[in-house]
Amino acid sequence: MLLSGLSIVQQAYEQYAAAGVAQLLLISSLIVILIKDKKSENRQLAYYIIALTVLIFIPPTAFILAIYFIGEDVYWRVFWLIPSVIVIAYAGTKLIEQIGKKSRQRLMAAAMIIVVVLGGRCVYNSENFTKSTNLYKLPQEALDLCEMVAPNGGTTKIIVPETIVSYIRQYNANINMLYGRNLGKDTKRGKNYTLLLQLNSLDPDIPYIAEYAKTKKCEYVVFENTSNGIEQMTNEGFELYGNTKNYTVFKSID
Amino acid sequence: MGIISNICSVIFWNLIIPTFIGFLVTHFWKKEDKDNIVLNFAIGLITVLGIFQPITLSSIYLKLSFTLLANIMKILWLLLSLVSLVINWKRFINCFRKLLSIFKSFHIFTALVLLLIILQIFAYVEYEHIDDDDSFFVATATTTIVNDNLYIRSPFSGVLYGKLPTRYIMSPFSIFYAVMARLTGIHATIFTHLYLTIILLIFVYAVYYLWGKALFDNSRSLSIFLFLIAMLNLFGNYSEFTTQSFLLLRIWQGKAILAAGIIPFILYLCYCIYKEDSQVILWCVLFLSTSAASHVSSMGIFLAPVSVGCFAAVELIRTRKWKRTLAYLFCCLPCVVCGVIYLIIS
Repeated sequence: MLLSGLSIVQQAYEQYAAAGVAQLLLISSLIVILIKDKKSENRQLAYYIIALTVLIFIPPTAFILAIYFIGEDVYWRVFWLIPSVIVIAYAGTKLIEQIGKKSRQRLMAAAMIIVVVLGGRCVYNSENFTKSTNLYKLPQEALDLCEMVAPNGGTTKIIVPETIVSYIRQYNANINMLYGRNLGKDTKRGKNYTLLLQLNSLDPDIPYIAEYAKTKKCEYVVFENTSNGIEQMTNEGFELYGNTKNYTVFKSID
Repeated sequence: MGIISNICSVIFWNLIIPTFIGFLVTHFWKKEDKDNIVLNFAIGLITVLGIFQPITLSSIYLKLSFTLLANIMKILWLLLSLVSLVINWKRFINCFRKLLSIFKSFHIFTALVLLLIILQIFAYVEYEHIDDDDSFFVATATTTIVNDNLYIRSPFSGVLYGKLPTRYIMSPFSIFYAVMARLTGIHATIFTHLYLTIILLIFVYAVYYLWGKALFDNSRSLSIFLFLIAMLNLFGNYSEFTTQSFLLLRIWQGKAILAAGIIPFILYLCYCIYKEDSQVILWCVLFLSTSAASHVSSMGIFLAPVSVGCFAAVELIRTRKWKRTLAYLFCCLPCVVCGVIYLIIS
């Protein structure tokens, strides 16, 4: 339990704190509050953070919290209970307040901002954000596919590759699917999972996919354009219905 | 509906109604600046979520239709707002006068804070961060609306649930998306990804503002405090797991608003309770806050009581006031009940 708890804490801390300086700033801020702040309620806040930190970091409690309550893989969520930005900003403001002249206060604020900027990472970067192409904030191609198979919120049943499965029902919940994003994770891996693997494959088993789609009464089958041999679907009771930049849609003739 | 009417309906149901409800709650609070619009909005939104939780859970258990639930909430929220309007009309006038006087205490840091908040709103409007978790959370809302039932069909595929999603059913924040989408007449996905993000961002900064008001006596220090917070948030992406990252990447998700807004608000209430005389209304709002925490995320069912419990334990050690500790623990009851129900059904 001790070793497991320690491992859980270490992994969670590394995930949460990463390479940022925020934790150092937090510790410094707590020291400032405990030394300089005479108000009982602010010291109460500091003691709360210290008590919480002890609770989070002690291996036995960490083990119990992670295994029985929060989840081992997401133990880092317990750090959300520490109001880091509030405490750091409070201590920073207190230090600025103590400087008499406004010009020096602005210099101090600027110095703090430099520390925050250099010790952190801007959230607005190309890894996190792309320009919106629609109000739904979904890939436009998913919307185009939905309108192709079920215009104006219509009803149908389709099979799609994993790359686009997450977005279909966010746009139109009248489109039923054979499987969703949870296949193989929350749900058991059966024939649907075999089908998913085929859809994701570069060389899918076209007769198998077509037969299974007909059995499950799926009106449309969507392939990625990188999949080989998909034109064979026209030999299996499907017709080419349409395509987008990355996907091709086949419709059941039956 | 045109975009102007969409914006008006969002403002009505997500800003005006919660603010009115907040004024109803603060009517019973003996506090000097209780007519502060930010305070009332924050408390109001928490109250909206807090009372939505038990009603939604009951509706799920009773297998009510979604339309019935939406109508119940519409009537309830309008009724509470109407009562508030009637008993608080003088306070509204006072609040409006105070709003105008804010411009007298405008500092350069105030301007910088507003600029940074507008930047964060702009980023949410013009750009997108696609998260695959929405294939459950947002799709639950669209599925609910289309089928007019609650957690009957899987949002992933549309098939009937073989086994209820016990982990998520106790925190039906997706149903809130659906209800608000119905009330505003906006597609659930557009409402969640576009409008709700702005509302919740405003709520989070309202909580920070309240913290600033509690910590500092003057508006200049408050502005500096908020400016530092806004910068810490902007540069908090050193890890994708921080509250700052969740705030600015996916605030519409339950766990994000829990981490960035509701837990800090719960802590703010504990701080106020410690600092001031413990008025009954503060305890009531804390009770509603833990209910709101359990509503938005299953993590809230556990994290909110840990936060309150830890604060209470430290206070008990320092002050030896046992009755207050019991009161803190009682306020965690919504989370405890949800946790027990989860254990029974899972």
